[in-house]
Amino acid sequence: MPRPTTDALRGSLDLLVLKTLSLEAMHGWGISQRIQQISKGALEVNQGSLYPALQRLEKLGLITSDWDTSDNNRRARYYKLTASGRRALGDELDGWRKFAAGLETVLRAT
Amino acid sequence: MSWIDGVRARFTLLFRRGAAESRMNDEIRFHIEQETDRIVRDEGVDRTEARRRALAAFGGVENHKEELRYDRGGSWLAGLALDVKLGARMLAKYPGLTVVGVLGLAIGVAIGATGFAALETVVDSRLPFVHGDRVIALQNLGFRGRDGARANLHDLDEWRKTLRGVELLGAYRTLDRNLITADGAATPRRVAEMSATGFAIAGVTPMLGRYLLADDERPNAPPVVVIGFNVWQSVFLSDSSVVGKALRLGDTQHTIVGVMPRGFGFPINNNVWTPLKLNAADYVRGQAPAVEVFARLTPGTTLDEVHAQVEAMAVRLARAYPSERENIASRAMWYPHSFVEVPLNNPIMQVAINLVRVIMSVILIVIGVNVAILVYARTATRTGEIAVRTALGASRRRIVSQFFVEALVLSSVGAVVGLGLAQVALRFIATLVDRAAGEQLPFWIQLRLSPATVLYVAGLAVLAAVIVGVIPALKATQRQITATLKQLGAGAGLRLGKVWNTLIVAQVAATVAVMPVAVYALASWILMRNPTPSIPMNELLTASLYLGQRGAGTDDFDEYSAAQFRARFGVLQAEVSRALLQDPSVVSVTFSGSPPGREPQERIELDTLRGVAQRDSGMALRGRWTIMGYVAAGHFNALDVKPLAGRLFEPGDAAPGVHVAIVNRSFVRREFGDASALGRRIRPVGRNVERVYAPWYEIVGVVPDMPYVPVDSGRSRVYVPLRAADAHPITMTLRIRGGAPSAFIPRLREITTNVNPMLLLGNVSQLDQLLDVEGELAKAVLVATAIVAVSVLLLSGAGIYALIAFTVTRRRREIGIRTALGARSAQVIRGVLARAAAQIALGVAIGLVLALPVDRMIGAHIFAGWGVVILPSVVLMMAATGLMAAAAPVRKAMLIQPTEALRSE
Repeated sequence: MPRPTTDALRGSLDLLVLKTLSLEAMHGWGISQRIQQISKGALEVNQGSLYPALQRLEKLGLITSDWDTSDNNRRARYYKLTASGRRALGDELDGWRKFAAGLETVLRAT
Repeated sequence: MSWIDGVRARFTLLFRRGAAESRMNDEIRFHIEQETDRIVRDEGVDRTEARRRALAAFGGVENHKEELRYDRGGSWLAGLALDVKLGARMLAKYPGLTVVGVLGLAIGVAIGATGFAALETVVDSRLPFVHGDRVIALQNLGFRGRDGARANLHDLDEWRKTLRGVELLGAYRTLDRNLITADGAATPRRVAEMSATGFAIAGVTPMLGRYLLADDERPNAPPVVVIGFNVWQSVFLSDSSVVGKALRLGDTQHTIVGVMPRGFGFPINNNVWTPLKLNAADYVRGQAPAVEVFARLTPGTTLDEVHAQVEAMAVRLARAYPSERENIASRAMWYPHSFVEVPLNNPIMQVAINLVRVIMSVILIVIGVNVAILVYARTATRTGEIAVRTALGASRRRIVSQFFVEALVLSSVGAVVGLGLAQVALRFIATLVDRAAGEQLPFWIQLRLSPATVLYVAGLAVLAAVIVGVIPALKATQRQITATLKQLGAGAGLRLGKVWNTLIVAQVAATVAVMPVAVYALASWILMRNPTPSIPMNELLTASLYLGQRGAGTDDFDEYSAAQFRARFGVLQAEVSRALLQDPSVVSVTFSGSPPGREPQERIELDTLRGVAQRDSGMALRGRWTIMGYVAAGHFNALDVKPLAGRLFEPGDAAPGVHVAIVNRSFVRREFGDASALGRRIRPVGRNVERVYAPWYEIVGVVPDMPYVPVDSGRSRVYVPLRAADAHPITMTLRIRGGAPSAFIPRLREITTNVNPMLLLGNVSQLDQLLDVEGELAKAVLVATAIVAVSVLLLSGAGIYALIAFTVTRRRREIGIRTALGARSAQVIRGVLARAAAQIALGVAIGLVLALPVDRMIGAHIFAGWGVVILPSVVLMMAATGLMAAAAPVRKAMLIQPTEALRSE
């Protein structure tokens, strides 16, 4: 199965993170696992580059974070979507769908 | 609130650095542990292997950390902090360079800031109100004695009726009154009788009560008064229930209706306001009291449009009322500009001020270039450092920015010191101006460092840092690293290119061009410190004499129509003079328009119809600035002055239709050379409006120069007869026998009050003390000139030093080889100095050529006489500076040991 190139993934990483967090608050490792699980292994997030993305989103005010305890009783940083993050997710999804549809059309034509 | 979350996140990341760092570490550790657990669970490998795989999957922990740190937005901050630290270390490491650089830049900044602040004050056309940028003044101009041309109630009426594009048009006049409170205590204050629109223009809310309203101006309205913060505080001891209380102004009881807040002083710097109840209909044309008129432009109207209207109206009025309005023009101007007069009417001071202005415009650039040369010479010794850093991966931008920050540290220190100097200078100027004006400045003039000035200085600091840091760094990073690396340690990396050489030449030229005038100004002052006074300065007492005017609404108001008022004032002057002369210690009494030595300047033109061509024909404005004094007939006799030619004034000279003048010797020399002045005609041509002409005055006498203050000699003066009724207030000068004139002041007050209790005396002072202020101001300007001149010379020296030191460093090996081959020290010295000497010589030559136009522009006219002495001494001074600057590097060159120099190969 061909892996998506890193560049394409990086562009949509924000979207994936926002989508994942829209289901429930989650720590960084959990986010990477969740993306992998839901995509059935098709999307593999580079674990290291997840954190700069989280930091970026937090600076934009789309997510907030706080310390909490994980399932196995470790101290973990949990991220959750803010109201404007939820709005941004909607916009991003629309944008992405339009883009994907456009891409699909072009690919079919040629 | 997403932006609040965002800001909080950014704040934590940027400023709570430690917290952000530990959070990052904790988070990554948690991630790795979770992943390790997962791999152990899912794939059954041992924990060490699982951890290895987890780390690999994460991919370069340190890289990601660095990315996170960078993303926090802190990397430039950390870099900046490092650069600032390096910059500060550099300051400490090269103390000589630091001292010269900081001092030089500080002086440049101080001059720039002081000039900027002063110019801002003079040029600023706004009042500190909402819409304060639309407030204008309407004025009349012309030659009709002191009061005749001023705008009066009838003008106000005309303007109010016809002007388009203005609103809230109003007027004020000021009167001196005793403020008498309920307990009988009296304080003299200047009262502004002002239209209610004045308060509306300001739009300042009263602190207590209300301000004046249009209703208060009705003739039968009860007399009310608004007081300012200062009066409220000092007279009423901040009584918060003051509104409604009674306050007597002179002989009229007023009710206080409001208190204005601190800092409000419209129209000038007033603290007591009463309604302007005057009505034009009550006066015959030409006899209405003078008022000052203000208005606000409606949005979208320009000053020029209003100006055109009042100009046209003045022409119309002149046709309608020729006897009253002939030779009178009107103008509209920004309100603050109507108060700007040039108080410094002293030729040497003007020379000095123009000099400072010229230097001010180039000084910071010259200084910056100088410091840049010094820094460049130092940068030359740091090529190794640059090359190593470049090899280690530092970008050119990074290196240049480091040099920029280093220079910024230097220039910031200079800027702070410079601001301190400017603050001291401004405070000094403010005190002097206050003293010279004899009262407080208009409320909107604040001679202090405004935020705009500080901003300007910050701009200067950055400019200086660019010149000092970026340019040398760009030059130094141009070359190939490999080439530089190869030469590491050889001490030869950089060259002083064409740019720098040109700059050094230019700067020597600038020094030589400006220095003669500075030397001239200083020398004139030193030489003129103790002239023999031609008049008995220490026996003279001067005071301004005026008659308290009654306001509208008082019983005897009608008595004081303008003409009658003047006639009455004339009679009272004569009575005062007679009464004073009866006192045994009074030798003489004389009257003049302004205190001797404080006369205003006018442009005076010559009557060219009678032959000799006018010498100043090239000027855009006709006539030359000349001091013009109005003096009473007996003025010269009272001061013991004998005519050199012709005659002195006689009583008949003041009669209507007679126009005669007396000039001093300097005026004759300036305008006529050796020819006789008697019978020639002169006239003032007006300060601002060229179309206004005074009548021609025939010169009937020549008197010697009478330098009142040291810097006064050589100034051209014209005297015309003063009519007793023309000036109000009038200046009275008394010559007192036996003892200090100031001891006579109480007696003077007593005699004056005995003649008439409504007569007031202002600015009573010994003439020499009064004029001392001007001397002090001149001294201050000259001291500033000296500081600037010395620092320019010093910086020139520093530039030459840098040039030679640089040459020696670069040619170390060559000098070593030549010494090894048996070159004598004279030859070595010649080799080192040759280029520097050539550059200095070229600079001096260019400077000498430039000195002539500079002299012309500044108006010192020194090349005729003094040039013979000054020019060679300036050249000598420059040569001496060059020699001193060269001494240290040349000595260093002579000490170069061949073995040592060659070893570095």
